[in-house]
Amino acid sequence: MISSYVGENAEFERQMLSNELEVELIPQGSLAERCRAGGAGIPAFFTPAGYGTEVQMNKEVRVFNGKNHILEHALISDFSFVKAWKGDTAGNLIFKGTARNFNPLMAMAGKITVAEVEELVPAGELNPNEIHTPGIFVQRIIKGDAFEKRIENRTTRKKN
Amino acid sequence: MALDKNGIAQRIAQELENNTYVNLGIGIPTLVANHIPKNINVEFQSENGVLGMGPFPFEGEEDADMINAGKQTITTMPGAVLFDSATSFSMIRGNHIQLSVLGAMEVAENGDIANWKIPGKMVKGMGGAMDLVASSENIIVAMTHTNRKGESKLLKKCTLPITGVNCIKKIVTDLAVVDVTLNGFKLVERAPGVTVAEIISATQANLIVNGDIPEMIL
Repeated sequence: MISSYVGENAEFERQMLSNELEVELIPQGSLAERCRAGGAGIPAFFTPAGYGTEVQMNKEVRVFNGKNHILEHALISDFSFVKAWKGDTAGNLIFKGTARNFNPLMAMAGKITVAEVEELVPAGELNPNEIHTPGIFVQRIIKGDAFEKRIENRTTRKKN
Repeated sequence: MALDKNGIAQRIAQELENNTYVNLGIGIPTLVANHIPKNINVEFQSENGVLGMGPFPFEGEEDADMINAGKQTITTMPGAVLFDSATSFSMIRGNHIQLSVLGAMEVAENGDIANWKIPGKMVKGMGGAMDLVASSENIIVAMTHTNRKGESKLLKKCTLPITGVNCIKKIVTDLAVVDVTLNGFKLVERAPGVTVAEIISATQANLIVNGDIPEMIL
């Protein structure tokens, strides 16, 4: 399991601390860029994130513009599973709100990307100006049945 | 008297500069948004993919697809924009964000910070913290001066796994404002009613104290 932030997931933390699950934690920006690079045909790149920390272990270090950077390699997956708001039968995807985050990058990184969408429409119905992930990065698309959207940290303010 | 969390946030808010982009970390840093001085315009970035983050939504208006990096429900301001994580960290690594405020478990006098892992105990992951501290021009730490056991969090050297090296510029705690200089920690301000002696005794690292140290004005 390669991840960046598992948050308040107590079961995940337990499995990791008891070594039931092998986990590699990496900086969030490096994870995003590694997926993007995988999909974009860039085999590796240098980033300053993690220099001087345990993330740097066994990685090449180079100085650019007087600053230390570490070599990070692209990530390519056999399968990517992404969730979108709307999709069409050509595989084009639109995400909603901050739920976009890693989805477009994971879609690019997958040899086979499976997208689950809340709404599936015939090709031609989505505005091409508004598509976030081009269908070329999506090999399978399904419309989910029911979506239970849980909020981990519900924060609100009162109306005055 | 030592400041509470809101006091720390209020003091950090005085560091905000007009027309800048700011990233606030989880915990005390998030509270900074409640204390923006009048006539100061800042846009908040949350690294999970929003620039122009607004306050928490009114009750009943929460949207599960609109959250910040701490997974709290949020709203957006007029002119806000949403983007994927690669774009988000391009803003961060590419130095388009002028200020990062984040919490810490330890800060060392050379500017090293530890805030992501307690071996064998707490492992939530570093999230965007390593990217932020490696790239932001200006990084302020918001934290309590001592931990729950009463031990100093301002150290000669970090004992926990570090998040980044030589990166912290300023620390605001419940007791003091401390600048991180090439010569180490320099005491800049005291919390109201807190003495220099109290701050020194709560600080494991060396503290440079030059002349009279003014109280914070909150």
